[in-house]
Amino acid sequence: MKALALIIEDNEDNRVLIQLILEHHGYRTVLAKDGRSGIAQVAASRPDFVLLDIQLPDMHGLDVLRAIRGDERTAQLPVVAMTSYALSGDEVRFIEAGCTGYIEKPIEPDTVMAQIMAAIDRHDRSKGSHESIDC
Amino acid sequence: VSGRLRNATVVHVQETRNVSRKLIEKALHMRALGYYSEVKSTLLTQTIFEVDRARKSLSRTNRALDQSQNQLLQLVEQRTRSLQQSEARYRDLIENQAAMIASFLPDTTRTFVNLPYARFWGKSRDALIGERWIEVFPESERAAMLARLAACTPEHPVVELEHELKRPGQSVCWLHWQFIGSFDAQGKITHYQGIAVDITERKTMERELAGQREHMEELVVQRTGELTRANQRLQELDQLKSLFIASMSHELRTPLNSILGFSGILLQGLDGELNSQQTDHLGRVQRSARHLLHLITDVIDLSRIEAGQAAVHREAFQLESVVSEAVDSFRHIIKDKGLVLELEVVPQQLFSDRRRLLQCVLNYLSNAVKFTENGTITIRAVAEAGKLILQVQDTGIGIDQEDQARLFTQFSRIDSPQVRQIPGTGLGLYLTQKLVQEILQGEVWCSSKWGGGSTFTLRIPLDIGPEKDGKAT
Repeated sequence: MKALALIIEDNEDNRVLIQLILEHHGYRTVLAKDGRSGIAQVAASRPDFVLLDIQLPDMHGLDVLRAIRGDERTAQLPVVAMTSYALSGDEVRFIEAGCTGYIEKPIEPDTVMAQIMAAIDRHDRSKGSHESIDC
Repeated sequence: VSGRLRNATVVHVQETRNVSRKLIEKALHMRALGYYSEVKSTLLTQTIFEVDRARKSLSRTNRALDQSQNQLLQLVEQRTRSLQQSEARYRDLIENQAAMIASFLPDTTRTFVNLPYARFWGKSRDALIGERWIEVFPESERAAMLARLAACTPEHPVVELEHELKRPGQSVCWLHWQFIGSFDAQGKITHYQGIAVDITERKTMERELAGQREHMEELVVQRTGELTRANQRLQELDQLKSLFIASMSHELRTPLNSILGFSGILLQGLDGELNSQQTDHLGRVQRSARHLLHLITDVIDLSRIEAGQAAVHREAFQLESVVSEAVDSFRHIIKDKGLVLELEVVPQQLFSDRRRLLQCVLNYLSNAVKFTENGTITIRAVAEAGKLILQVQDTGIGIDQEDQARLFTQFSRIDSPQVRQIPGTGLGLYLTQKLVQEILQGEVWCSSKWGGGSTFTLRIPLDIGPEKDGKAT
């Protein structure tokens, strides 16, 4: 079974873009347009990893991350934040709050997959996890 | 004179008496012996003679006495006149002047007051003399005044006193008193002489001055407050400006992300194979979008640094990795322009803000590539006394001495046909300088010659140390 990625992103263009790239690389995707439905999807779809925009209309990405980490079933779930340079400084807070890693917008279609995988690999190694995400 | 005259007269009279008594005794004696008539005539003659002599002497004496008395009377009259004159003179001195003068006993009972004093109180002298002046003052002030008077000693007989006074129906006035004590043989004070001047005008002026000074101070405080508020407002506005730029930039970046992302997908062939023209055109779209993105990023950085909100991301990293990342971004264009790239970089561990250093190297390199048509670009880096010295040298058009001063200022571009052809905003070097100064704690400079290439240098600490208290990272 192909790995499932949850994309929590309010901007439609970005959502479609990241979805296209992930699917091109053979991932399955589920989408959420805001923080609340994103948290609901984490429980409902049990994704293998999450791509989380840090600026959402209903709540801050940081709070979504905390909600995910607060649930013991998803405490170890890889969550990669998508940051915007305009709000730099958030990266540090994200990593401190238990974020797996972050990628910066604009998303570069040719390198973004590698960045996501690198972040998840680092996360897996540091957590000593033996599971790995299949393509 | 009169004493001597009187003595002389007394002697004469007594002498005369003695002579008369002796003559009478002699006559009586002779008559007793029977020589009566002879004795009588002799005696009589002699007596008359003696009496006459005595009378003469007496009248002389009387004349002398009269003379002396006249002299005496004249003298007394003269003395009296001169005394009267002297007294009038002193009275004038005491009475005909502005100062108030009074004598009083240690318990402040007045024994003398001059006219101005009486006028000051609007009372007769008799009404004032015999009264204690301390009683015109409120109870609360008396002890201090008496203590002041008591400070008067034979060694320091002069004491001064200034006091405020409210007379019925009059405005408040101020008097300055100078008291001089008089003492008995035991050094005990017997009475005081006091002289006073009205210093109300001076006091009023002093008070007005003090008032004005206070008013000035108030004004200064007020103005300072206004300035502080204005300053605060300016700071708020400045932060608003920065916030505005940051959020504006974010809004500008969002559509750019779409442009870059989707053109990237198309270029990757995710939607199918492109022909060479389509690839070329999409490439142009991407390059323009990237350029725009860099400009926006520069503006964000500048507004952050100027607002003092730029975060410093400290990390340990290798200098070589920064140089190679920068070079990678320009490898294509360097190759396309046929330039030679030389690296003289000594491997070095740094503890600093990697991303900002990369940004600076990129800016230097970007300028070098932009303004060099042929020749060599050299990146040189050495560590020296705890500092990293990094240079980007080119063999490009170079910069006039005159223009070098403006190099690192905002929105300044060299005005020459060659430069005008090359795109740029004039933000790059300004931002580089700001980044080096404010984030990397170093300095930048440039040496160049028109037509002889340029060397841009930055010098930063190898280790910028931990963050300081109160400064956000």
